[in-house]
Amino acid sequence: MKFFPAKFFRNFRQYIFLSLLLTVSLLCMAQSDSPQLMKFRTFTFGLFSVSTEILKNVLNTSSLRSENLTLRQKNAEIQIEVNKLRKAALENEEMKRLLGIKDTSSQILLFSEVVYRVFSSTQGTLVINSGTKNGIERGMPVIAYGGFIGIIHSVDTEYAVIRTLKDVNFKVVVKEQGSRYNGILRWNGNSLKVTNLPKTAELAIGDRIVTSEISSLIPVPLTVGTVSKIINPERGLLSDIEITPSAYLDVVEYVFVLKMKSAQNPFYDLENDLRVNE
Amino acid sequence: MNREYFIHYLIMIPIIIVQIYILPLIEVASVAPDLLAIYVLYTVLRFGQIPGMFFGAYTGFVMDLVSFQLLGGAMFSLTLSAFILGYFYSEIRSESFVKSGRFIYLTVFFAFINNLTYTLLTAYEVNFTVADLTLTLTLLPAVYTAVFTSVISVFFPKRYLTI
Repeated sequence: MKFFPAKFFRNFRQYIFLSLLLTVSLLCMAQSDSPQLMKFRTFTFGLFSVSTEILKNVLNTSSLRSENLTLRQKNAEIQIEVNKLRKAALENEEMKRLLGIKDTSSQILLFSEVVYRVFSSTQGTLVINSGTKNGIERGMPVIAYGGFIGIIHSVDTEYAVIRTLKDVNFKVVVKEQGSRYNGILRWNGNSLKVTNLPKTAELAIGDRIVTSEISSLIPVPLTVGTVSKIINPERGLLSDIEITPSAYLDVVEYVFVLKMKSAQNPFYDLENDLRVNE
Repeated sequence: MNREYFIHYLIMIPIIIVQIYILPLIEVASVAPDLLAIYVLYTVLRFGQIPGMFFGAYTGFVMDLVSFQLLGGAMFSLTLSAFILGYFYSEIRSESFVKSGRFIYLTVFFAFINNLTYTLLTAYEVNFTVADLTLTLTLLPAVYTAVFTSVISVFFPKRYLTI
């Protein structure tokens, strides 16, 4: 009887260790978004990003020569284009001054490079080499060539994590540009779907989907993609649509962060509240 | 065993970098082979169920940290998969085990359990169809991982693949 615990442990140790490890992982899941753990995670991914960026730079050295040549040519073309635009801008300024119209555009785009990306079937994140030192805040929308790709989820001083459209935890209100019907867009592990649209909405394959102004995350309309499939069940009054994203999320290398005014950014208040509560 | 076992904890860091940075280059339909699953299975079959479970938990935890996905998700699924596949551990050492068909089958099994658990944990709110859950999100990536394993086993020298 004296040795019962030892015998019990010897016989069932694999189950004891399994329970222990699974409990630890469940606790981690429960505390995943706690501020303390977030700080630790941000620090860890910052460290990892540094090493990955070094590796990326080493691997990219060979392709730099040809890239430089192409960029020089592009640069020359853009210089001509900029001169034309400068002239147009001056004319525009002059016209606005004469008509008394104020400039209302407050969005600033911040160019950034993707350091690494992690896509599983249900979650998709990108890490970029810009952080709080560049003025990036949580909740800022991110666009790439083609359109909207996600929002800033976490920020370190040097790096930021983007939660992309291909993440089951990311939902955004979108609308069809023509009919203006709103719906919630979400990744279901296989495709991007907008659910619960009225059957009366006149939708067709190829219709353009943009972010809706009623979205608390993105108050400006940004292109998300086009309708690729319309799912009309026989019963009920609602239908679903599948979207093909305009931006190539799996191969994106460069992105633009939309530096919106903090007042427009719902995460800004959240962060402030957290700071006040601390 | 101890020194050799703990070396694998260090080796896992560059393996994670390869998984995140190199393997997406050979993606097929947005699915990359799961090198972490292969490596955890290797340690399970080499060192046994309990060391394999701890190694799986460690690997999952580090992966969750650096990928910024649900913390504890990969940790849970890799630990559970290591526990189940731990029943295939044998004391008998074999140089050709990794090169054998049995290891490939076990890779499919391991990756399938891992993918299924991870998908159910991280996307419990989403209503998947049975076909999506069993085929597109779990079995197909597992089969691709097994194909990748067979390629590794062909090109790697035998002495590094001893179980």
